[in-house]
Amino acid sequence: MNRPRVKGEQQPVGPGFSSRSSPRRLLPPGLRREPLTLWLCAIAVAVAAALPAIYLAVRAADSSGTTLDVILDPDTVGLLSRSIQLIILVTLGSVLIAVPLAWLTVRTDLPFKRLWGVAAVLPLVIPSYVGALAFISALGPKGLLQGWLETPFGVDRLPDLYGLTGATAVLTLLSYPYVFLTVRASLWRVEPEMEEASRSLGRSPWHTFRRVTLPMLYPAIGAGALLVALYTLSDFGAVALLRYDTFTWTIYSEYNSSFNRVGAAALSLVLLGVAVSLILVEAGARRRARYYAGANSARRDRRIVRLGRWRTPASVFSGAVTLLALGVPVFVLLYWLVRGLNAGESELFDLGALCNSVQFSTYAAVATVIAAVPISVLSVRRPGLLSAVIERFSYVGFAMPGIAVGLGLVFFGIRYGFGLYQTTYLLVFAYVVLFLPVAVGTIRSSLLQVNPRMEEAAMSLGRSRIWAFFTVTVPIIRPGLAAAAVMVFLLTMKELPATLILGPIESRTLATSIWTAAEEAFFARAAGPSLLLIVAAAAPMTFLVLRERPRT
Amino acid sequence: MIGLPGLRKRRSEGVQTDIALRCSGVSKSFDATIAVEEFDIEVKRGQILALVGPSGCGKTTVLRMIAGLEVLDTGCIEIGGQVVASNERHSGPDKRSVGIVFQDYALFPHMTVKANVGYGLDRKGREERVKEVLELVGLNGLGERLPSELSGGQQQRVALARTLALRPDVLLLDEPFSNLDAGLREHVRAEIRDILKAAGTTTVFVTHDQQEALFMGDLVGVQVDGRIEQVDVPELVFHRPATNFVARFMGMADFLPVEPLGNRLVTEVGPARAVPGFVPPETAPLEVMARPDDFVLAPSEDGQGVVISRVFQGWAYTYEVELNSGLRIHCQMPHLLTIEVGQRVLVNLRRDHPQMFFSAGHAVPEVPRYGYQP
Repeated sequence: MNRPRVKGEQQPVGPGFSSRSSPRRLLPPGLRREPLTLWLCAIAVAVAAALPAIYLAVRAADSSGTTLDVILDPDTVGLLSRSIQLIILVTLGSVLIAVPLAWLTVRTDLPFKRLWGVAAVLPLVIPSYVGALAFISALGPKGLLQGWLETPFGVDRLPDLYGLTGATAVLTLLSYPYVFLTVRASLWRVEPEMEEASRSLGRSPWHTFRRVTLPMLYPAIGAGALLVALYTLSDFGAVALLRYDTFTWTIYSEYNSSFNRVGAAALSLVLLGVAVSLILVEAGARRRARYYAGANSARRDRRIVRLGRWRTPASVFSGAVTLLALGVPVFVLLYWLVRGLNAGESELFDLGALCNSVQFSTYAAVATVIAAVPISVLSVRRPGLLSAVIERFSYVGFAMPGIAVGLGLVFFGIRYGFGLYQTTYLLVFAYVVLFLPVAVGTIRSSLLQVNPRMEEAAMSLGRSRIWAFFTVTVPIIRPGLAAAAVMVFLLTMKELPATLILGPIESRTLATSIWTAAEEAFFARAAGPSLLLIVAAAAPMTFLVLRERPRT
Repeated sequence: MIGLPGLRKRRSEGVQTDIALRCSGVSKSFDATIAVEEFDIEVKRGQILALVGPSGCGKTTVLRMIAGLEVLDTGCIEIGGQVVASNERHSGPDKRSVGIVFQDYALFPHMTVKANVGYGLDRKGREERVKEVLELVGLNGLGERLPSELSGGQQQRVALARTLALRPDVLLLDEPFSNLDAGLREHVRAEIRDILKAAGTTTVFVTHDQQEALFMGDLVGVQVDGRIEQVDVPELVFHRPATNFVARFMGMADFLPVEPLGNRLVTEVGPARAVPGFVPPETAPLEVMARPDDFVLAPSEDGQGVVISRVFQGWAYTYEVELNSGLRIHCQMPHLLTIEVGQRVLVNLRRDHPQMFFSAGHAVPEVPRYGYQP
């Protein structure tokens, strides 16, 4: 019998030494193991991200009477129903375009499907106000199409583009890629075995698609649809140009023209409420569909569906989507550019604005990625109540339209900002708040693919945690960090409302100079910056799309 | 130990002891579940301890606590005579001279084999040590490859080399063979045992496979529900299990009720043989343990059992026999004799060696839980 030691023999016994009261125990298990600084950084970022929302609430509460009046005003209810109508139509439209397109480019022998796959994502680089501008110029009254039809056919009126119809069309064409991306990623992951099992159980391909494949795509469709809905809700440029009054536009005019700041704050809160409800609805739906989401990455070659006689209609469909979403805007912009060149217009390409845009976007990308890392690490490596709360806080920007973040920071900047208002710092901070969720999401999912055993192995080889993180984890997640930076860069380039409200007065960006020209329907002057913006955003976007491939 | 090439100093120096690893009264709970309870073990320098137990018995948690990856609740862990974990202190994994090889190897995918193996080493002397260790594990020439370009067995050896490069006081292996094909496994484990013995490394090795434990371990520790049930040399854990559970876990075992009649121990399949001087307990019901090869079967219409299934295993058949009492036993017989299912058989216990007796789940006479005397 060689039992080394009777329990408690060497352990000092006494009140001061009982394991329960040792100082380590007072901290949650996560805090004990992770350097405190990491937690502090994450908490600081989370609090900062919540700042605009807090300030909106503070401002609205300061004059709670007025706030309540604004919220209960019948006009507000009208706005609400108009916004919701638009959201429903755009989301439905996006799903109807994106799901077939994703399926065609992943699972069938559609001709040129690689090309369509890239082209289907590219509308993401077109800001909504540029898209709206292009469609107004092409199809609006006295637009290009009418001009071409007038002389030979005597058409002097086209269906009215303004209002709900136009806003739905433009926003759908520009935001369906969100659904396309999530659905395509999910299609890559669907195990071919499940479909094969269904076929071998005697089910037709169509039945298999409807009862096996499609249900497995529901979570992806839901996630993409949520992005589309939030995009629509927060959109400012397109609805403004297409004269469809929604929250964002009303908030902006309240703030800008009538300087009704309390009213603007109150409406922003309602807007925030709608966004949060959308997120909750999607989360609820996802909880029920959880068992679909377990699909692992499949490595086997999957069967390619032969389209047969459907090849032509499928090609026409893919081509039409690309033509409308990508072709029309690019064509119109080029048309106006050439017109401008011929008319001897100078300064078509506003290089100063380009520099500012690139500069702000670079700052935003770097700052956002740095801010996102601590939160992502903790949420992946130390799942628990505290890290979950921190992560939720960082998602504020997801629910907060740019206009609301901008307003919240205006209030903060004016009251406590110590001269921060209309400086680059506050603007970049707004971008960080807005796009933090994108960065956290991307970095988080790449961290999830890093086996935690690797860092543990590094530590058991005598390296400190921080050394292990930088020599093992960072090199592995570098593509994720790059992707996050690229996404934030792209979104910052396009961002309009926060830039309008917070931008330093003297520095134009591409977005603001397009907006100025567009408000005056100065197409020729908008064309140059728009093209610059699209090219500057499309380059990194193409890199991202080409990199994202099914793992084989 | 100072001045070895490439080696950063973190081993426990100065304390001369024969015991490389000692865990005393180690306990750990996760929320409400107790993972490890009052865990005691001692491993001498150069020994290989195989910890075996059903999944969920807490063996991996033990390993992670020894490595410093989990913080223990109570108890004490000493490495080379120095306390590395107790109520009051917790040295991080980077501060202990403990190496761990994970089940999935956790090789750094972005580094070459050489960089992986040299990861923990100082720049000075790194090259030589890496070369040396790669030679030890038989991978010289593959230093420039990436882990993804290696076979499973090779990856495993890289993981081992990476850990051995630092000459850890204690090496931990977590289910190291579970990711290998069955065919490869036997070959690899013999190889790894040779490497470990050549390096003279004290090793704790965790597995759920009793064959592996019996093969790899100088000592085999059987763990269940977070506790050590028995530690001993492999032969004795197999042949002299301390408890019912160990007996069943280490190999197929049946338990037959025993009726003491005078000085004879009668079972349904004839008399059992005990060691000389065996005194059956007065009160508790007694059972005899029988492994499948402890029975002899003969077809006979007067037999006390019926064959209800037969499994062909090449060199032998394993029969399941239902006795008249309803008890089912398992018997292994050479393939020369084939008995059909449904056939009545006469069952007898072999009389050529004494059997083990159990009462209330424990061996009679008692077998010490810590049977091995260092």
